[in-house]
Amino acid sequence: MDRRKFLKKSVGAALSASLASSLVPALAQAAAPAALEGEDLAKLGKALKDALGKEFKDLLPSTDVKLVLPTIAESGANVPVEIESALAMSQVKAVHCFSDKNPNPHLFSVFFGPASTTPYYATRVRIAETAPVRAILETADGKFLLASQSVRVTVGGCG
Amino acid sequence: MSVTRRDLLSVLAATGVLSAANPAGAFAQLLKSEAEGLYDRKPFGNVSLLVTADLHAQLRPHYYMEPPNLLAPKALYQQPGYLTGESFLRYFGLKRGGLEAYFTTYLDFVSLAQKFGMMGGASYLTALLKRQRQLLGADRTLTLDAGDTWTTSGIGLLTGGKASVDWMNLSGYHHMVAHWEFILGRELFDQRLKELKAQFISFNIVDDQFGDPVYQPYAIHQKSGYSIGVIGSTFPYVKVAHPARFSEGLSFGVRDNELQKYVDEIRGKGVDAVVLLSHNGLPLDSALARRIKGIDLIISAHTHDMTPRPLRVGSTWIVCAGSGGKFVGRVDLEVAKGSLRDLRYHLMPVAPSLLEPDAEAEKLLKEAYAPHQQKLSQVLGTSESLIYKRDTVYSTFDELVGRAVQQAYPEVEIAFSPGFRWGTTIVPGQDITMEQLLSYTAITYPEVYIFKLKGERLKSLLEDIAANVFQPDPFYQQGGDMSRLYGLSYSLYINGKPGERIRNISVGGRPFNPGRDYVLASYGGNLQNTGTILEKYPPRPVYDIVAEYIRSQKSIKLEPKPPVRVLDAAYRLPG
Repeated sequence: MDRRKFLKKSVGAALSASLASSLVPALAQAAAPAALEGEDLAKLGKALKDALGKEFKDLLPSTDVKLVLPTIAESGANVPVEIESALAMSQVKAVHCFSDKNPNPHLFSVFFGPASTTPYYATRVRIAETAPVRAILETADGKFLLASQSVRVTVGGCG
Repeated sequence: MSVTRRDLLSVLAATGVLSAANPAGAFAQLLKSEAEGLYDRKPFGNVSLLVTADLHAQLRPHYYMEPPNLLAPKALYQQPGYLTGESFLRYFGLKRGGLEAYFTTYLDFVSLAQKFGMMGGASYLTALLKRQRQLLGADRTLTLDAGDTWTTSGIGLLTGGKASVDWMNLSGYHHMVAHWEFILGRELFDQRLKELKAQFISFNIVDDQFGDPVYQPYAIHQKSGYSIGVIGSTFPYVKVAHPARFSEGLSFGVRDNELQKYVDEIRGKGVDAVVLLSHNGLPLDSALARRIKGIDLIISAHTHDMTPRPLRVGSTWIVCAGSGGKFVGRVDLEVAKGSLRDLRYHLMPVAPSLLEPDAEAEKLLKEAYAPHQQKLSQVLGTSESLIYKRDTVYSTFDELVGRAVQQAYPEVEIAFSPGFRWGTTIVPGQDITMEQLLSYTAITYPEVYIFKLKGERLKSLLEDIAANVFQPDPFYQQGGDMSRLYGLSYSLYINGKPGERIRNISVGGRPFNPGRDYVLASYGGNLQNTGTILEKYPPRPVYDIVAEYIRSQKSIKLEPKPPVRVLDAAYRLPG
């Protein structure tokens, strides 16, 4: 975790953020292109195995886990990521975050303790190059729910 | 009016007003009725919005040719935002050869320029805005600017945006959003905001540490007994497109979740109609309209699109008002309790030959120009051919930059020129002045850098730029056209997968070698940071290098010769 800067929001801010973004319809996700830009399942698969003992096919794409991050990063060194879920706190064990093409694709894992009130986590991560970010929600009954979104990391130019 | 009898006659002839039944003697009367037909349309509904966008500080009338090509990935092919020439005219039901076709397409540009004369100009814009407010009633009207208004011209650069701010103050604007205004740097930007009478609104500029909004996100106006909410959205990629130093401490972005929150918030306050004043560009705003619920109307700028008719995406209307001072858009709204019932849109060309300039604005311009007139009116040379900028992959202006850079730095093998959408157009026979050169290049980071880059890095850079332009999902397009390359030729496969769009590269006529270092020149972006800068060449402003070249040549002849072969779409040249 040493490479990453934390930006922990209060539970109140977290709640209002989750209320607002829950209004975004599923259509938004459906509009995304089928193949995620920068996808590298071989590299991701290895990291999943190392960190979670799982393979990519073990992950269940689910609307119960919600991933919020920009589509184009202002800076790859500092990409805000929010992961949240409408599931009851008691059903959620942890969230794990990966990005396919990072030197180490495993970005972080957060385990929720008894003091947690809502399955929400916000932080900033470093993304090395254009690739999908994966939010994986581990449920209390041992399922791994997946949400994915690519983020473009670009040198920029041209207005 | 600074217009000749010949100009007037040709306007009338071309618009079909002048015929055997209407002899030339009656031309003044006919001119008046032509202007009335364009500018004095009967008000509709109960609230009106007057809209300008992407002026780019073109305060004097000029020529501006719309792009021959707006290359699109399959999913967006032939959609508004990607229509040019005949396709544009067909889609919007306009006639080739008329005034509106001259303002909205590249077709017959040089001959129509002779007929209809120049376009835009701040004093004509002011005149038209005042005329509309008088016709509609000022108390039912809001005047809105969708950004890119203060900078990127000679006068914009030399006055640090002040000339445009003063002009906006005179012209009665209520709100604006921004993009290129940020190249003034945050301190001067905020200073200009203090001088601006209009209120700057933007929900999507936040403090980069805590995410709090930095400016007023929206405003609510009472008009004709109804409540109109206007949310502002500044260009989402200010930090990606420009050096980060200009927007220190700020974070931008599309922020669709937050936008939905603001729409719901003002709906909760009982607003009857929700308007988004946006600098996202038409493709992104169209995608956003599908995603966000509760926006009645998006006024969309940045991509310089024009919508002679309003567009509709789901239950959201979208209108665009072009660029370069060429248009005033007028949206007449029929607002009811809690809803926008209907609207009409008039995209009015600002034709100096049909308008009297506003006297106050003329006076203001004269004063703003006075200290800079000598510099700006310097003649550098003459053009024997059409010098244009806007196109997805190539322009004769960028070719001119390439030639100039190579003359100044013979070592350079490939010269990059950025795919800015703004600029001006120089028609054959016209003098090339310093002001015109600055219309293409007036930025606050104009330095040309000479640097070395390994071939394989260069290839991935080109793919990265192509992905920004040709990604079918607008949420992944950063905006801007493709960088233009001088010295390197390639084939473009628009619909290729990421990493497979740029093919058959050759440099200086020789096959591309991914393992070799190439000597590159670039300006107006961050590309130089990807390679090793050659310190022996101190950076010089691009406009100095190009001015030097034009002076050395005296006369510029540039037939369009794109070094790009487009594999999966038709590609057209002007003329």
